[in-house]
Amino acid sequence: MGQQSSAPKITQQDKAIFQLKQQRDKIKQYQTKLNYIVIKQTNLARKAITNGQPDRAKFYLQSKKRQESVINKTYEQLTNLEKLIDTIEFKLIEKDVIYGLKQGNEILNKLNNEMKIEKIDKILDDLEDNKIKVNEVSEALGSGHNLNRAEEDEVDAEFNKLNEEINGVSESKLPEFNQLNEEINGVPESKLPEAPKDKIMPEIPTNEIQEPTKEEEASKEEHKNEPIAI
Amino acid sequence: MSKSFEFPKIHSFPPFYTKQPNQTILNQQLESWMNIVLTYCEFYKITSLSIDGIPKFKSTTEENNALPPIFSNDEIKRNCNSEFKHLILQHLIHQHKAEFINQKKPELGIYIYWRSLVGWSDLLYQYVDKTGQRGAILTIYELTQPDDSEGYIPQELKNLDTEFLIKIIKEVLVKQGKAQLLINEDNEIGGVKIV
Repeated sequence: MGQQSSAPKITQQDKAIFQLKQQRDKIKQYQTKLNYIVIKQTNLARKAITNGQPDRAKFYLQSKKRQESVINKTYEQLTNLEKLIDTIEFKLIEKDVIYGLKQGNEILNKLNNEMKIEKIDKILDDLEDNKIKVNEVSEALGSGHNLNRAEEDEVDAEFNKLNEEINGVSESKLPEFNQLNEEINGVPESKLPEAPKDKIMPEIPTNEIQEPTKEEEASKEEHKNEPIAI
Repeated sequence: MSKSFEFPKIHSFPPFYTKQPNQTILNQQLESWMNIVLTYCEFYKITSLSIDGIPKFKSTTEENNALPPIFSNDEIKRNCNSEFKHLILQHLIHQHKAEFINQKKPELGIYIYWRSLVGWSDLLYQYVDKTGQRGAILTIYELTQPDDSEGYIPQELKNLDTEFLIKIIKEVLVKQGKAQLLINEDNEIGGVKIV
């Protein structure tokens, strides 16, 4: 019995309810006993009448009546006990509810503290800083890697030519073309299916795109003050 | 009960009542006896037998003498002697289909497990769970002696031997950490909290 560490705990309230329920059980047992006596008395009375012993029969019936009134009294006591048990159990539930409310309130407070406006502003500020840095880096890198505008145009022209040769149509449906085209002109071709945005600008951190619009505006304002902040 | 238990044919076979000398046949004989005891006990909801094979506790209300005896057959005037009875009961114990009520006092009789303790505990747990009584204090009395106001104790659990019920709780639910027993002022197990 040593490994009962995980066993459910018995609280003081549990013990109290246990006591009450035991009392209730005892009353019920008592009632069973009385009921048995009542049945026995009735049978005896019946027997006495058939044997022509009216006095004896009456005695049994009186005794039976007494038992029955006792039974009724025990029912009252039983009701009292059960009421008490119910009340305690309900109070315990109320206690749980209050505890739950308290917990919920604490968590809400904590969350509200975490979401102070100044904190959010600072985060957005930092984000803006980082974005600029990323842009700078990608620009620096981009100039080395990417083709310049004239070169891109040439690629375009060559692609169109080839395409026409092969398909007989100048319309291009290749996603690469679409991407390039968009990168250069900044406008997606209306005929083409929507290009996934993250593929277009891989260098830009995704959080920029996910920013809620309201905060974005706020951050733009912050952005103006930036040099001062730094 | 309107219908009484129907014994299999072998129960009317005279040599069945005598311990067979051949080990192989004896094993088969014991196996058949075990099945008879188990189906018989399940039929009459007997959870324990005396050491002489007389029902000790059952959840049905018939008198013991209304039940046909297990280890004898009046029609063919045969009955097992007590030595053979004990051998049969011993076989049940070996097969984990029975257990001494008290290991130190075998004369108190044996529990018969036509349903395993785990099976019993599942029944009990499901009942407590379904009726929203998990975490509530339940007395052993209210678990076995329900009156009509109390309601829906499954038929299987009604009038169950309290000792047996306590054993189920103790050996399965308490070990699983699902139950805690409460001791009453007479130092007896009187209640349980099942979570």
